[in-house]
Amino acid sequence: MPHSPASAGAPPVLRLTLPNRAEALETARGALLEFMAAHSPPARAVYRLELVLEETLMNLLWHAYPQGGEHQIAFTAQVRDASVVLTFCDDGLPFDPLHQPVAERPTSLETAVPGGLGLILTRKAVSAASYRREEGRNWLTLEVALAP
Amino acid sequence: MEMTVTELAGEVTCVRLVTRLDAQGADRIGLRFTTAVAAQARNAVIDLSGVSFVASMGLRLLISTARALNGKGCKMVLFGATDLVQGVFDDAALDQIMPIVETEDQALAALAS
Repeated sequence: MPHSPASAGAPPVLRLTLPNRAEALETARGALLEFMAAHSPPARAVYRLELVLEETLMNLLWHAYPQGGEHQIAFTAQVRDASVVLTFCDDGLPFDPLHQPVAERPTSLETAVPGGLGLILTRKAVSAASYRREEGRNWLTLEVALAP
Repeated sequence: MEMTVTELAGEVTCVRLVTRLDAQGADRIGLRFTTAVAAQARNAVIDLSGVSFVASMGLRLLISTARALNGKGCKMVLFGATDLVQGVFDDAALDQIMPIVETEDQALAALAS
């Protein structure tokens, strides 16, 4: 079956619709690893991708829907040049993870606070990021370098 | 087998983990791990050589368990982390709040120091 001209040269895109439930983590991880296999990414890049996916989804599951209910999170992944571009779109509470104050990294066990580590790890793992709130949705784009 | 608990000479608890410490893994072993490490007032060393992945929920588990043990006047030392896991520890500055070393011998030496 011939491809349309618009899609002929476009790199493939992984598109998932995920529930706001814990099972989304494993579903998305499995699909992303399968999608990335064709690109033979270095182990460090795979780690960064899994980390960004986990931390972003966990943040959504924990904080986006304080009223509960069933919601859908749209997730895509696409390899562009030397990066993997991940997008997350959700209709939860407005939340820009790129402009949250960074929690101080702990200096002692006594003063270590449990929150904020996910944001620290995500910021370390991405090479570029953008956020916008549009039509009642959060649109988050995170790029992860494919370099080792 | 995700978790093996043994007692080493000198009343040291050794917990060897073979699992992912992501949200699911940390949730699955959390209570067992904390109980194994911190139920008794006894130093502990944690073998992470079988842990392929750690995310923030895994860090939280390690921190909360070390803190519980610390509250009893005892120490928890991590050893054997892979390079990738060590990278996460570095990003989170985990070494600022608990000893992280390469080998079991170094972990036992850190308990003695």
